[in-house]
Amino acid sequence: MTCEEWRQRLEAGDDLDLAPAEQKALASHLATCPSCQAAWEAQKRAVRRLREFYRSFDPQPGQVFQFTYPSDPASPKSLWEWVVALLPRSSFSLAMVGALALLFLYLLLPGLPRDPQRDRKNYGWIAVYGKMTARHSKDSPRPGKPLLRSTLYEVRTLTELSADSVIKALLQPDSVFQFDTGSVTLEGTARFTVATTTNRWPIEFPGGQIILQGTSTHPEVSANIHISQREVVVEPLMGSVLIDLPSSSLKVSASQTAVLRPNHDPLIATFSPSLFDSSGEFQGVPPRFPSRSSSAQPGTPSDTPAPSQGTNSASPPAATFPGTQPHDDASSASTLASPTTAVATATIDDASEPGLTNPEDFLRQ
Amino acid sequence: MFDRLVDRYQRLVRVTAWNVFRQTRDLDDICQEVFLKAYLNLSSLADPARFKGWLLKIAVRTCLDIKRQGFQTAETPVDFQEDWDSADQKASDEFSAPEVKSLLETLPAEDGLIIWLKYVQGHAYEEIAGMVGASEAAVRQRASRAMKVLRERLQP
Repeated sequence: MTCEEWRQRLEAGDDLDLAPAEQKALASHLATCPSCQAAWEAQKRAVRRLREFYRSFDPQPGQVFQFTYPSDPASPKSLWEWVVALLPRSSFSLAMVGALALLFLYLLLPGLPRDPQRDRKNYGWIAVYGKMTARHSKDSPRPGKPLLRSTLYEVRTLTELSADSVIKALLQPDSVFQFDTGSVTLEGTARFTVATTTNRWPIEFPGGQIILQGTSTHPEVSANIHISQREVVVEPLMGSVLIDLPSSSLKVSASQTAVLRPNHDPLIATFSPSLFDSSGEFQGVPPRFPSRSSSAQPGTPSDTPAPSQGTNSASPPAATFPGTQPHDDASSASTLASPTTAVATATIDDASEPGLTNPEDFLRQ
Repeated sequence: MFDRLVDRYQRLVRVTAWNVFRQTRDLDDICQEVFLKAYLNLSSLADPARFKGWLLKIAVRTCLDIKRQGFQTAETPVDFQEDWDSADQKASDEFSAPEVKSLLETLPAEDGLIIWLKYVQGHAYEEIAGMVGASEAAVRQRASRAMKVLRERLQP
């Protein structure tokens, strides 16, 4: 490198950026070139003066600059600024937010068209069912002999129940068991249960009532009723009925009510009551009475049969008991549906019960 | 947090602004502009350890942008010849800060900025060229021209 080249580099300040090898070359050159040495010294002197000056130089000595922060978009002052700050910047994100808002409104607002299958999948059914059995009491002529067995249940789909819907399972109120004997004492149990496939709605189960009523005399019925969240147990169920002659009958009725208390306002209610017994067969009235016994007591008015009250000759489709075969959706539950509201059966199993009058015989006469 | 950075580097920004504008009237406004840009672009600073160089780059560009947009400074016209005469009268090796300042004020503002960036801040010509938006050769030429004056004027 020539002397002129070194001088140009020195004056340009390149000595500050020299590599170690170049520094050695510069040092050797400066040792042999007084003019370059003088130029380098002048350069160093000027740079030193410059640095000394700037080391303490402040255009505004003693003054302290106070930085003013901009309005932070992350902490807007008003609610509207909050909203604006939270809005997405891109049009795609804005469209997504809009779509979500519409979907939210669609789910919130009632009365908008919806897919019914969606609700059916989520809801299911609720059933209120019960069973009452009674036997001859111990002090009767036939102690422990089954006297009657009754079942009731009500099934409804939960697809479109309204607020405060009432599901009432009613043992056929007009089930009449006719006797031609003077007195029947019975004891048994009754149990009513609410079963459902959903816990979406809390269910009040206020309890039910059991009524044994003689047509002409008032029986004395005692029962201990235990009510729990989903079940009412009447046990023991005891009664004594004095049957008048000549037309004696025992009227059995029972009912159980479950009231739905939905957390929100659902849609229109649909009901699917059924009318079956535990065996899956329809057991309407007249019940399956035993054949007339030859030991019937004298004085039985065979020519004045009591009419069979509250019969229901309709035959709803067969179905299974909801407690044994749960249905997960309304479509399957709806197959249980029957347009009737009577949901009970009652049979008298004691075929040899003395004093019973077979209404079929009356009908033949 | 950012207040600390402002306190620490505000003199650097002020000196940068002075080198560009050579006046002190609007330095606070310029500092605000520079630190505001830094504050709003802190997320683009990959390495916090390089904050000083990053801030200096912002300061230089901001000052030059303001100047190119026709920033009206209160720069007092310098009597070039008088200043040189006064400098000539100083033959001593000792130069006071006002004398050096006066000498620097005689230089074109961009030249003073470049030699400050080069010899005081220690940036390479390539970096300075990127800051001031000029070619490296032009920056080098300006630095040589300014240093030639300084060498001559700052002789003892």
